[in-house]
Amino acid sequence: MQNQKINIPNNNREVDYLVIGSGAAGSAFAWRLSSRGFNVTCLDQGGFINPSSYPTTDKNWEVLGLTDWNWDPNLRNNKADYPVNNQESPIDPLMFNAVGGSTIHWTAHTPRFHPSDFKVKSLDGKGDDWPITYYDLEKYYDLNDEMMGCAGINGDPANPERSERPMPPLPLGEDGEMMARAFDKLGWHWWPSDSYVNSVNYKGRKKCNYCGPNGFGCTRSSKSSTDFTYWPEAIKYGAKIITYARVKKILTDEKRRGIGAEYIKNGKVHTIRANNIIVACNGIGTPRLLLMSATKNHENGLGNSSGLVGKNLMFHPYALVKGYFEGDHKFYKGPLANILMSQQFYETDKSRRFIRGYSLQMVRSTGPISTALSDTEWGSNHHKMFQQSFGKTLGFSIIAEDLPEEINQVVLDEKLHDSSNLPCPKIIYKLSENSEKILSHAINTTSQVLEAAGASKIVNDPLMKKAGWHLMGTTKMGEDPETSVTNAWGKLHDFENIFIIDGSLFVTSAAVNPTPTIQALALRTADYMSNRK
Amino acid sequence: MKELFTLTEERLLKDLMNIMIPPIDDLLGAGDLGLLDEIKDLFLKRPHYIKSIKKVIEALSLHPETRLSGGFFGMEDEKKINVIKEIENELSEDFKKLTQALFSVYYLDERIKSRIGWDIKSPQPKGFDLPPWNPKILDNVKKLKPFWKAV
Repeated sequence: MQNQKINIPNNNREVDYLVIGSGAAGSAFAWRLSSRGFNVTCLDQGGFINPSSYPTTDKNWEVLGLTDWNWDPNLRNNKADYPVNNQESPIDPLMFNAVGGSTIHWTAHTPRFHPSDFKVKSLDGKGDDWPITYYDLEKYYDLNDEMMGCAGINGDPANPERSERPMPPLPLGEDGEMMARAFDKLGWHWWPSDSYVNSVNYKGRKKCNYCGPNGFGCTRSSKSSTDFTYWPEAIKYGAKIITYARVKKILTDEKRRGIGAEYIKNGKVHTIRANNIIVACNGIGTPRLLLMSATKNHENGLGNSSGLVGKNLMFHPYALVKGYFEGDHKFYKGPLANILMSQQFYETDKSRRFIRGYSLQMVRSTGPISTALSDTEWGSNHHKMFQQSFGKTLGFSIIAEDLPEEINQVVLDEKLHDSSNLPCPKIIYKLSENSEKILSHAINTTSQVLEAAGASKIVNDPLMKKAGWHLMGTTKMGEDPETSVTNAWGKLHDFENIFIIDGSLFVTSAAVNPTPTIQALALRTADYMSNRK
Repeated sequence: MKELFTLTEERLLKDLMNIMIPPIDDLLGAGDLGLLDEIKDLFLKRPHYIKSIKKVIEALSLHPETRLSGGFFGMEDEKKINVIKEIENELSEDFKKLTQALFSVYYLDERIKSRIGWDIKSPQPKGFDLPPWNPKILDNVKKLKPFWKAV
């Protein structure tokens, strides 16, 4: 617990806006405010990564994906990573710690929330309503699409009308078109994926050459990540990043103000003073930091008068349904997951006996090692199984909406510590009955699509363990300080100048990838803060 | 430098590799293809893999059935497979690492890549070609009426 009287050494920096975390949200925020002349400094526990070091130019790229570039920080174990205790969760959280955060390793699938996603309590009687609407975020979605570079096409009947994307959609490929025709046969919705992947040369970055595994980082910068979208612009405007700086705690005064942060760099503890503190460490890192920053006046962690910091953790429970297709196919040609999406079963339909719904995201085949590991057994059947699956599978990852529940939470682990001896997060998560019903329904409908496409065999993974890409809900926003952690701008109810801008703010999770919504929230908060002056 | 595996461990591991990925066409089983050195090279800097492989080898060597038979090599194939399955069940995480290591070196081998028709060194810098975006593919889905829920 920190002392209340803090002596700040004279030689410390002083900044207007201290951003903690340089990923999707922190970068967007830093760009917006620095472009308006504000003094912004960002701390990140990782560093800049040279794109030429990404695995996809290495002959061992699949081995690197299992080891040094694994999506799971517990398996990757980089210097910038911290361990996560996931023993009490059927889903393992995934993240990347570097400048750019998890946009380094995402596949950049970028749909928007639906208007109904902001009104779950009113419409469906569960969870809560957001204190904002889709239309409050719309112009920020547009701005973010422009900055990150969105490829896609208008006219989607499952979503409201919207502005033109800056780039045309990525080609579907023969396999994507085959799957589109299967949806057509069933009379079901599908639409080309919105992707932050260049379908044409865009803002000095080359068009995608469809190598496939863009989740291991993109060596040609065709897939957007914020280390080369927002950050170069922000730095041009004067924003600073202090890399390999792991924040130990947020410092506060005796009133209701944050005054800076303590961070560890090169084994030494440093202090930085700031007029405003912006936390963007993701749905796990952010509550961890607030809990680690407990003081005498805030014994249960900063901003935790509601007791909700760390609670209401939402993942998107994922299932995978895969079809095997006979013939000489090479379905590994093209981006792994930036193909098409179906939202036929997105909105609540009470006849289905669950509320809310899901999206289906088409996925292609992978390389030989991943195929052998996911589709074969060792022993006498190995070669036959490999022959039947390599390049011959197509499938869908099912993204189910996860509803907030207080029992699902991030707490500080009493025993596990990171390399800086700071307490690590522990995840306590149980799949809800509603989510189970959604996944079960989705496996059935997805199997129908694959059957219509001509699959000779269909298999499924009913709950993917290594699929905790989306970390949400652990400092939810709201109007009432008793039932939420921040207000509608992400400001902690308990403090005047500490803001959250990442997925922790989410009140509900929707059934789509969250990053455009996270970034739109960050841009909106940046505008709010710059306009207050 | 100290060898990663003893000669006895290597012998058992090669035998195990042959069972896990048996011969196909004119290619020998994984153990006889000389891939053990590849495992050592590739995973030298990842000691937790080597540790897991050693644990599996030890468990196979000490299994009662193995001891009764006078060693792993003395057993019939069917018995070997049963013992391996038992160890896979007991040491699932370690066995998973062994499988990852074995499948990795096997499918990185040029002879295997040639057999399966994978002529790609790495996904980049060449990438793949896809036919251009075909707007006509949207003709049917565009006929659906908007169905998102207005609030």
